Amino acid sequence: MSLFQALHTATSGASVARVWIDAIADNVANMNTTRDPGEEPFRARQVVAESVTDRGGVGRGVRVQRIADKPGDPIIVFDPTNPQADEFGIVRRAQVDLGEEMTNLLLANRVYGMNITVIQTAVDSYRAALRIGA
Amino acid sequence: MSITPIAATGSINPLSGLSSTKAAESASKAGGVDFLSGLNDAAEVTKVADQLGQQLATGDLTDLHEFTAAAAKASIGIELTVAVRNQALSAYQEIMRMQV
Repeated sequence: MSLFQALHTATSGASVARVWIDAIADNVANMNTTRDPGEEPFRARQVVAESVTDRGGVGRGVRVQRIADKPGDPIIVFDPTNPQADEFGIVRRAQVDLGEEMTNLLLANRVYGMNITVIQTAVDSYRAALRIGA
Repeated sequence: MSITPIAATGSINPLSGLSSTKAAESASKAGGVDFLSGLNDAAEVTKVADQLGQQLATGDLTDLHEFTAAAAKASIGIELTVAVRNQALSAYQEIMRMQV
C-alpha cells in the first residue's frame, strides 16, 4: 500500500479497459478476414482480467491475465469467387458478433472513463486533505 | 617547552526539568528527516512523470492515462510537500515569536 494507492489501482483499471478497447478494435477490424483453406480461421479475442490482491488487505487493482479466443465455429459461406475458397467454393469467415463487440465497446469506454473519474476524485480528495489548517 | 594537554573536563550535570526540551528537539529533528524524505519522494514522482512525458512525446507510451495519472500524482506530491513545509515553517515562526 502506498500513499496514493487509489491512483495506482484506478490506473491499472484504465489500462485493462484500454487493452479491452484494443481487442475490440482488432475484432471489428478483422470482421471480414478469411484465411486460406486448411488454416485456422480468425477468432475474436477477449481479454481475461485478474484482480491483484494483497493478502489481508484491499486489492491493488487489476491486470490482464491472458487474451483468450472466443468460442464458436467460424461462419461457413459459399463464395467460389473468393481467392481463399477451397475446392468446393467454401470460405470460412471470422466469427465476430458485431452487436456484442459494439456493446462491449460501450462498456469498455465507460469502464475506462470511470477509472479516470476515480483518479480525478482521488486527487480531489487528497487535495481536500491538504486544505486542513490552511 | 611542553604544552600541557587539555584535561578532560568533568561531566556536566544535566539540568533537571529539561527532558521535555530534549524530547521536543529530537522530535523536530525527526520532523526534519521526514520532511527531507518527503522532498525526495516528491522528486521521485516528478521524475517518473517526466519519464512518462518523454515516452509520450516519442510515442513509446501505450497508456495515455498513465502519464496524466503520474502527472497528477507528482502535482499532489509536490503540493503535499509544500503544505508540510508551510506548516513546519509556521510552527518554527511561532516558536521564534515566543517571549524568552
